[in-house]
Amino acid sequence: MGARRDRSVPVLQGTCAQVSTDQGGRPLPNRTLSRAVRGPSGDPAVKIEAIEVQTGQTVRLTFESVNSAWRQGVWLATQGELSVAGTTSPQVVLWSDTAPAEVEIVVQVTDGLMRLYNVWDSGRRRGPFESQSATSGMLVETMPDGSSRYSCNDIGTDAKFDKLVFRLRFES
Amino acid sequence: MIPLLRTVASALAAVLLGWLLPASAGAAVDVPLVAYTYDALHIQAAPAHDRVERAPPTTQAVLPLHLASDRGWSVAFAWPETIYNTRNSSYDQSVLLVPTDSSAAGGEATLSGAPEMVPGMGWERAYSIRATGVAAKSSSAGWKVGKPINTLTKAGNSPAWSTVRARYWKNGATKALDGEYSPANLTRMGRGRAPLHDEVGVSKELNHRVPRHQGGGHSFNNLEEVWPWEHAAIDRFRFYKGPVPK
Repeated sequence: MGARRDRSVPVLQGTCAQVSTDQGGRPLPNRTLSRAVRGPSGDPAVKIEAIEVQTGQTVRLTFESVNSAWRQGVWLATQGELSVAGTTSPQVVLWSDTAPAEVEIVVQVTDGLMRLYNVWDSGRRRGPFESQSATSGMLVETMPDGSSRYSCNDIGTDAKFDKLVFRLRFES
Repeated sequence: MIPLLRTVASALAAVLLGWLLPASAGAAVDVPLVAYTYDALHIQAAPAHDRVERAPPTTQAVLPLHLASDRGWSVAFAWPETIYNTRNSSYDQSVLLVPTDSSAAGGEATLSGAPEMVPGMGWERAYSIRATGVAAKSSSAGWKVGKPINTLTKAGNSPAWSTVRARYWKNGATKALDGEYSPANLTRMGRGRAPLHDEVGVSKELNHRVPRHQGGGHSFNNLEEVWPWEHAAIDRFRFYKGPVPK
């Protein structure tokens, strides 16, 4: 069952609204692999992704599918500034049910890495979003067109990596 | 006419209560309460307000019901209709008092005396409650796993932030979903410590939605779980300088 996606709502609607206070310079985690969750090939899932980016680079995020009763999204951050639909912030969250199917992210200032991971909202009022559970992780595939597809598991030992699937394409 | 009589009866009840039970020390405050009534058979099955949901009362009473106490509650009175058991058409022998403010302690009270017929009001006479058993129950005030994290301490004091934080994680451990935390983290949380990121090794943190300096309290609804780097982004007073994986 896919989550309903309302295209009429602007980007960042319903995201963590207070993400703009960090002026950069705070350490962010680098690429981290899961100790608990592995993909079908036996390789560990990616817990936190860190991708090399350059200032001025455009990253195009495309939501492909959602198979969860929980709201699903993607947290993206850099030590610097990311710009999404006119909003500039070191950290942004894009929710699959409110963001457009395809979102353009411009790297304004960066330490050279953009970090990202799957976030979700279980409705338990645990926080602005939930992330990084013991069994969360992402399987990363490189697609023929050079983009990367991320298949995510939020919580659960029986990981099917279908809770959220999105794709990233990097443009110069 | 009846409202006037009710007012008079209420005043009489208050006077009666003042006679039966001396007011507690300190400034009196009104704490809104919800009363659940039980007959003699059911009261034994519902001795504490945290069991209300598992043992529904025979009648859910309505306000007005007030508490005069500066810590928790000790004396209460209610209109007779609020403690009238419609199931067996009799007045219950006990009433369970549940504070709507989760930070206040609840308890039991036992009705004292019998209702009397009042001309023009029938049995709708203000009815006093002797809060016997309250002292014993107040000693059970204090927190245990599953209760609101800002529940007063046994001594009746507001819990310190470190206490609330420990309670938060203890409660969280009991409500964790399968796969949400590692066994090691569940053990930590059961001891009141924050879970560690399984790979990065840093502790999860609690952010006050409404900051403390703006009057935000330590209630569950004002807290949110964040990782340190997320915390640094939403709280300008939080500067994460902890370890990061290489």
